[in-house]
Amino acid sequence: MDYRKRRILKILLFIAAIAAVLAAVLWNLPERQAESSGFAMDTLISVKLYGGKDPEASLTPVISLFSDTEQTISRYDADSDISKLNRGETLAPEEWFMTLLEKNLEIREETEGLFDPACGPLVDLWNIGSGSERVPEASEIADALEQISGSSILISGDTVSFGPGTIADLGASGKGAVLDRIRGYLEGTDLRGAVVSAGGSVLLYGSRKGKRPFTVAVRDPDGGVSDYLGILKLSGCFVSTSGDYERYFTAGGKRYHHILSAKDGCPADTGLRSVTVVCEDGALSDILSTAVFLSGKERGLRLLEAHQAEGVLVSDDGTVTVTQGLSSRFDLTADGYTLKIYEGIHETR
Amino acid sequence: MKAGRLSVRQVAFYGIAGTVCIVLSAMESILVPVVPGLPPGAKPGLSNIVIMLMAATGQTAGIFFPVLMKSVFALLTRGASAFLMSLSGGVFSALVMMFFYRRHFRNISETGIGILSACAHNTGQLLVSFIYTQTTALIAYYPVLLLFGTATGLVTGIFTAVLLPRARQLAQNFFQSSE
Amino acid sequence: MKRGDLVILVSVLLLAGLLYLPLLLSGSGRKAEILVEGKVTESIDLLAVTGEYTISVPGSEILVRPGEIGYLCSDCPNEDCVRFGMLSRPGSTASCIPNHTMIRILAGKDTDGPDAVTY
Repeated sequence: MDYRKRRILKILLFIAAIAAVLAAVLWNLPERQAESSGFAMDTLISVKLYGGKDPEASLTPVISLFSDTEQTISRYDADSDISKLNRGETLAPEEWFMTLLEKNLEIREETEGLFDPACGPLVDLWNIGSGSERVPEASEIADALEQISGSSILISGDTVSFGPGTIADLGASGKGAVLDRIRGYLEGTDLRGAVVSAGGSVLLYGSRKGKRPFTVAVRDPDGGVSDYLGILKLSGCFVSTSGDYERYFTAGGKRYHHILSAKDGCPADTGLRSVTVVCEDGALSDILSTAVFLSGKERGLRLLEAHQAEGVLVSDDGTVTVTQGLSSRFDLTADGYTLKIYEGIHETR
Repeated sequence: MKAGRLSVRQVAFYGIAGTVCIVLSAMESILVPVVPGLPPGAKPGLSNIVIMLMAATGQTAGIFFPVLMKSVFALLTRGASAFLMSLSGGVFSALVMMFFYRRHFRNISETGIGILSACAHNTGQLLVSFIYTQTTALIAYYPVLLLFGTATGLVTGIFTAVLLPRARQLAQNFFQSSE
Repeated sequence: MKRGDLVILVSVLLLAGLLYLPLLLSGSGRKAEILVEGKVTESIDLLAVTGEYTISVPGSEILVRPGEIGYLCSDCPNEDCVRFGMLSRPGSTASCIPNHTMIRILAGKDTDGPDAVTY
């Protein structure tokens, strides 16, 4: 009797052991994921969602945020909020749009007008990316600059209106803004991680399996689409890049890129070829990448510091400057570049 | 002699069996790396002969002791992952052996059981590697593992068949001179 | 060796063989996909390409060569898509945004390549 009981007990124990092994395996099986890529907001987008019970179900809401954002900030849509505002209407738009405008204005102030959301006249003048660009006359540029300097964006309470002649173009922050909204949505899901790219701006949500960081490759300004400058290992943040190689046209042997200074009306010539910004806020990462590019290395780095953002700045002399926070997370892989780590300037006020 | 617990002789027997397993396993680790082109973790599995002999001679009460001993040895020499691999492989293959030897299938002998238990061993190991690598890509190895399991299982089975009469006698002698 | 043993031997070998086939078919090879409006319209195994040929998509011509694929010419402004050049690496993509077309080479497994590229 005793012997049989022991036998049964042993059998049960080993069944339990097998069950434990199987449970451990099933618990750790590669998780669900869902992916989609396509076009929205005039650029290439890609969505990768990991974990949770049904990542597929979150694809549509994420993609619809793209179209919804586009309907609000696209200048090609005559009914969009931005088009209405540009026509002089007063609106009480959604909160995210107000916040976006505020962030734009903040950086305008900090760069003393070098970066200006009201750059519409300049953008339209150069029309880079249309295929019919030409170098504008100095007088045309001067007119556009005058229009810009006379522009104003007035926010009071929950309404916003533009001053006369104000044409805002939110192309430098739109991608970041939609990524902010997407992150807000993702936080309400059970997804473990996500990587959403919109034309070179990236949202990293959560992390890879086992809390491992995501890898984000930084394009080599001198290379082709698959040529990387280096790799960043990050999780839970936004990454945006502005470079002189993205959109440009060549005329008379000179390259005119699309990052225009609202001060002199021309493509910025600050010795930088690309600026990659890493920070906790999507719209800000997008805006700062442009603003830092416009400001040049020195002022740009301080701008990053002021916003607790990190960055990788590639200069035309082959120097790659990485802010200290990224120094352990950035791996320079391309040849021909020298790495410098920026440790910050401690100013006493 | 047996009062519902294991007798001293049984414990000793299992201890010896376990030790032999460990020695065989250690020998394999030294000799195997010589052969190139095998998937990771592929071993002749000589220690399985011991387990199989135990199963064949009815010494199934403590069959998992040698398995555990071998796994702990792996833990001490090669770490936690090796421990889990050895344990799951050993448990799966021992269970298969026990199953077949309890039932006494007429048409199946050592070679067949050897093949099945070796494949079970490799399957158990594959399941553990899923946990460690987190990718289903590993399933690509399964055909190779099955093939290899067939080969090693055949070898194990043949050795067991050859050694069985001696083993039976050994067990008998070992447990007899008491009472 | 009894009859049952033989049955076991043969069945295990068969099982191994069966498991091997789907892996042979999908494993190797470099698959490229052409997408129009987000939907895959062509799927090409670049390693099986012997000569050179072009595929037409709305607004562009795509050139396919052994191991490579890329936009040859396009009616989009600046022919930005052509600037991508010929793709050959798994995971690389080229796109013609105005025409909503895209070429991509499928990545190996998710261990290959970065999770995203910033540019």
